[in-house]
Amino acid sequence: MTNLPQTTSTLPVSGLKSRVLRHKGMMIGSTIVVFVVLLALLAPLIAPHDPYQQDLLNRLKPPVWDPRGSWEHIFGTDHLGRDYLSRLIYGSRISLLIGIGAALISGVIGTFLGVMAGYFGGRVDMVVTFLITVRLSMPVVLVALAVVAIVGGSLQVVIGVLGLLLWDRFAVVMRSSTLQIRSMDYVTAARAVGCSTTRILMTEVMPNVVNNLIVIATLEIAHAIILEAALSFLGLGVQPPLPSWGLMVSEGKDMMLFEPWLITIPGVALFALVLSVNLLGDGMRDVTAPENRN
Amino acid sequence: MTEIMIDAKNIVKDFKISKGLFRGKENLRAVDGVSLQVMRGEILAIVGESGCGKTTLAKILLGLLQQDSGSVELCGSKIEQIPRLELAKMVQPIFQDPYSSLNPRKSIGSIITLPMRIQGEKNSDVWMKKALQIMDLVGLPSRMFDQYPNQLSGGQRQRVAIARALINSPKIVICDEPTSALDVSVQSQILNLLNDLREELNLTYVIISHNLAVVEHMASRVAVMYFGEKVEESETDQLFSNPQHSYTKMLLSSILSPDPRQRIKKN
Repeated sequence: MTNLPQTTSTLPVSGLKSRVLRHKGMMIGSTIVVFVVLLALLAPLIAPHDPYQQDLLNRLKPPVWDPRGSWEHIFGTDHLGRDYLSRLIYGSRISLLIGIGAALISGVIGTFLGVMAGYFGGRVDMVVTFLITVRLSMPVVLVALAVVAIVGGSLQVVIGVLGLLLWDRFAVVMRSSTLQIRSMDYVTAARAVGCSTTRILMTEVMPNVVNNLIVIATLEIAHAIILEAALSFLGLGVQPPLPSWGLMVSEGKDMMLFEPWLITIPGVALFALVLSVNLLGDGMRDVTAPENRN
Repeated sequence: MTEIMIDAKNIVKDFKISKGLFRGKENLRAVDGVSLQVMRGEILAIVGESGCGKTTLAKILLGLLQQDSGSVELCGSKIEQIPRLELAKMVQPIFQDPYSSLNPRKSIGSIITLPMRIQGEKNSDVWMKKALQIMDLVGLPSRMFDQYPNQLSGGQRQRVAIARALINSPKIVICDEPTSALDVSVQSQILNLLNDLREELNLTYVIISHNLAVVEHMASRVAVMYFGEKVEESETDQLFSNPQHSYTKMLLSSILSPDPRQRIKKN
């Protein structure tokens, strides 16, 4: 591109692209997220070993940067001799699946409740506010632990439980932003023009609250990933031998003193993924806000 | 000039205001027994201070609020019995604030053509043609069709709002303070535009304002509202030369004279 002054573009997309490229946080976040997504999708092609293959003669091999390490197992092996890098790569599938699945379920529930409460007000609002209060009075980890302990831990159960527990922030934010949009004149104008309520909600209200939705969704994806790690760490999340990052930390905790990489490697992976999902969310909010379009 | 477009009789609208948990609700009477008649081609101005029920009355006339008692007839049929889409073709609003009356996520073209699409017009060539025609009529260049509201100035946005209101050629337009959010120089442009459009499209206006200069310039008849009641209604010249009600007198005496030596009378 040259430095000539740009004339106002009629295509909003091209403006969006340049704003994305200028947003540093978003670039960093999306690079890492895209990287992890690719890892998860291409896991069978990338992973050097079978993540479930035990090799009891090669237990607790240190990673390659340790003098005792070798290129055979770049991140070393765990207490059963399974290749740590392969487990990490397969673990990204679990983390992303749980993060996105839980955020999707809670997003649908929370957005529906919040938009209804904000738009219709009155009794509907009272009921939804009550539901939010009830939900907020339940400690997430305890409830999740109890449910998983009763039903039994599996990937689907963890996604379902987290999805049913994390909708409160969606509902609160959607309610207040819908409340704000509802009083705008363009909603009144749409009513005067004869739009149906569904159409007003879909074309006038939703597009103006969706950028908040994206930010909350990323927060909740990150939240769900961390909660899954916590549940797995406590032994009530994803069950072994599935390679979840939280489970890897949990399995490594007994050997923390002499084999610290067993904890630091999945810990750093979790940290990087959660941070980049949050950066991506913040970036999306900044970039899609209509005030920034020019 | 004899056809009655709006015939409102004894409109009453109450709002229930919650005083807080367990303390019950209080009634606020926003509109108290207002009757209005507007003839075809006429411009009726409603003036009054903030919170006197002007906007509530406008919403009732638009069918957006239901009156608690009294009746509203538009073009001879009761407003409750007119189907939603028919009502939309009959009466349209123009709002005060052009910054909140246009959805920032939609292009100008999609805002202007929305009323046609809602009425079931499926052919996109028809809307395009009609939209460009109406944009030309209200003085918007056709290149703005694909632009977004934040790329437009306040006056241009108000023109978009007018175009949206007029695209289905309604009979009645209710303008709720159409110029008070605009620059003084743009105000007169918009008012003259509204006046020209009225002659061209044979429109009937109800203009709500507290700018008396606007009222004097535009209206043929003026109704004065005070605390939800209509306290006075007369021809514009008559009202300005010979006000009857004490509130009207106070309102008129608040107009500043361009003569600096003349002081505001205190009563």
